[in-house]
Amino acid sequence: MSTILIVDDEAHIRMLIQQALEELEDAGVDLVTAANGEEALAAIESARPDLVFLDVMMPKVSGFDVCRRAKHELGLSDMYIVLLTAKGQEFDRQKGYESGADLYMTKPFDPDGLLAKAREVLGLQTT
Amino acid sequence: MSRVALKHIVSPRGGGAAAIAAITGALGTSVRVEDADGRVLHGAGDAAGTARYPVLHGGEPVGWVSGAEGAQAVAELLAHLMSKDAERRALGTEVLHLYREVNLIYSFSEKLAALLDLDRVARLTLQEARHLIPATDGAVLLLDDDTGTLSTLAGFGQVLPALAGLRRAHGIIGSIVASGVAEIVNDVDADPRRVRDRSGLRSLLCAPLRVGERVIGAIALGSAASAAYTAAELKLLNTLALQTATAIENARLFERTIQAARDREALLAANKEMEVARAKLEREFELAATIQAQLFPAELPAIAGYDVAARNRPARQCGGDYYDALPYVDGRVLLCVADVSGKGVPAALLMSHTQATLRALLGGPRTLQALAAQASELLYASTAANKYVTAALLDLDIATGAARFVSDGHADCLLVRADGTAARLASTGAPLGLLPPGLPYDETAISIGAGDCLVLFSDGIADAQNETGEEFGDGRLLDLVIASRTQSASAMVDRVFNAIDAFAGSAPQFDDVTILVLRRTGA
Repeated sequence: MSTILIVDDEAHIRMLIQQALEELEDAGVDLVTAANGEEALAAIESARPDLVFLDVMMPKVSGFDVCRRAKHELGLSDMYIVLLTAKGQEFDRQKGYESGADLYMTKPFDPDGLLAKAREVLGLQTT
Repeated sequence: MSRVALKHIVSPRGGGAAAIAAITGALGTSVRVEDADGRVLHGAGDAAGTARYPVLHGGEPVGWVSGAEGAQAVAELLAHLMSKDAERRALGTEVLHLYREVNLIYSFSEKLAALLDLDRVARLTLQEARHLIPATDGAVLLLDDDTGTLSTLAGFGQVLPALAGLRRAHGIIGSIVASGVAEIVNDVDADPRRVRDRSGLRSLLCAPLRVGERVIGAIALGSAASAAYTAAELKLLNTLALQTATAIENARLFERTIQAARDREALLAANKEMEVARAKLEREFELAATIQAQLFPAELPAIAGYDVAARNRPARQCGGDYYDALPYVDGRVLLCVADVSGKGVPAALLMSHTQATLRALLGGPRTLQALAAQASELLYASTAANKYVTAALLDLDIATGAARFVSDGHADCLLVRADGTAARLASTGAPLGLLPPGLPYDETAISIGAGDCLVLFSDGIADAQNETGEEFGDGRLLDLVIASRTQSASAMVDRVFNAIDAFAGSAPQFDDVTILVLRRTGA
């Protein structure tokens, strides 16, 4: 069974992403959420998600930090990490890739694009 | 529609498992939860045979809870959790829907910002509108402020794009444009403003394209279904319309800027062409003036017993006046003032041609009439049909003062006697080179006595105008030469020119002015 971790400090964004990915639950995908960087690292260690949608701008531990620790310190190089950030902060893109992110998406994101990306990463067919 | 699964509710993450554990733990009992198909989701088989309670969701059993004490409470709790989960999911679906709209509008704005072409702006608007709001028809209409008519910039479907003759304040769309307020019309056939019955559209959604307070058009969507549209969709269309209106204004501004730049370029190119043409014309004038100047005798020949003076002043647009005094055999001299047709280089060349012809023929033909006839024949044969020369020719016997005068369609010349009487020397034939050979030239025989003055001139003198357009005229010239008859030839020439200049004032000289004066000084 695959697991997707959704990390954002804003509850409505978490809900949005969950909702966008809801149909994957039928395919046995487990959707796990975290509200900050610390929760995210804990969830990564315990649930070992296959895919993480990770907000960049979070207090205390940023998305970059989570990404770097997961990829480099925990050695989870196979875990696919999609960084999400607000439009207009594209100058962070390079920093995102340097921290080990696999993809960089800007908000407002296209919910259908998010779902398609999840299916692609998890190797699921479109229903 | 959000799906609510009992399986999810009773899973550890769904919250139900903990609640069941709390109830059964408190009661010291156990329950079994099955879904509607009998699959066990929680608990073991030992609850079989006991009481069975349905888990109701939307009035339908979506599963069952079996067990002794507490089973009913668990069933009710699961139903409550399912209801809450359904609410959460419905809210989530709504939020997701709104987010999709926001995202589409955001991407629409981005795409619009990149477009500076009216048609593409309109097409993109309809494409996005159609994506967000179901419609069988759609159109983006632009208002012509001057005529009040609406024209279709882009459209889809059968009805809306085909609407013709739409005007502000006329029909449903026209009244929306006039009011500037978006509307839903969910029963088009019942709307008294409609201009067509049973158009095939039952519902209409229309938003004005507004730039500030100004309405520049409208976007309309139509549906064959009645009551097809909601207030939320109207709001959405309004949002699109606002962005489209701005994009249209930008595109128009861009078009105007481009057009202005093109106009400027065209104007510059035209100016440049004109400048080139003007410079070319200027060079032509200079060339013509040079040719013309070289044709005049550098100095008039001295004629014993006579005082001769002549002057030519070409007009700005070089004409083709010419004068000459050509002594030839046995004490005779040919005096000539001519005016060739046309202006510029062609006239100068014709003048040159005329001079060469006259000089070549001089002394050949027996009479002045014959010389004129031959010159005319030669010029007729060698020039275009519209080219001709008027000329006043005087063949003078220097010793006796007997002269023969031939005027080839030239302005009347003057013979002023010493006693102050004057005679006009009128034309005796057609201009040289104008008519086919064979026409006779008459000749006037005159005798020039002591103190008599012969004045040959071009029509530039009588035709000279002042600022009010009045002509100098023959009368003034006649008075002037009579009054100057006792003075030297050159003094008379000076007086004529001075008088013309004083008369013309600041009015430009538009024709060549030429005068030749022959005054007999001796007996």
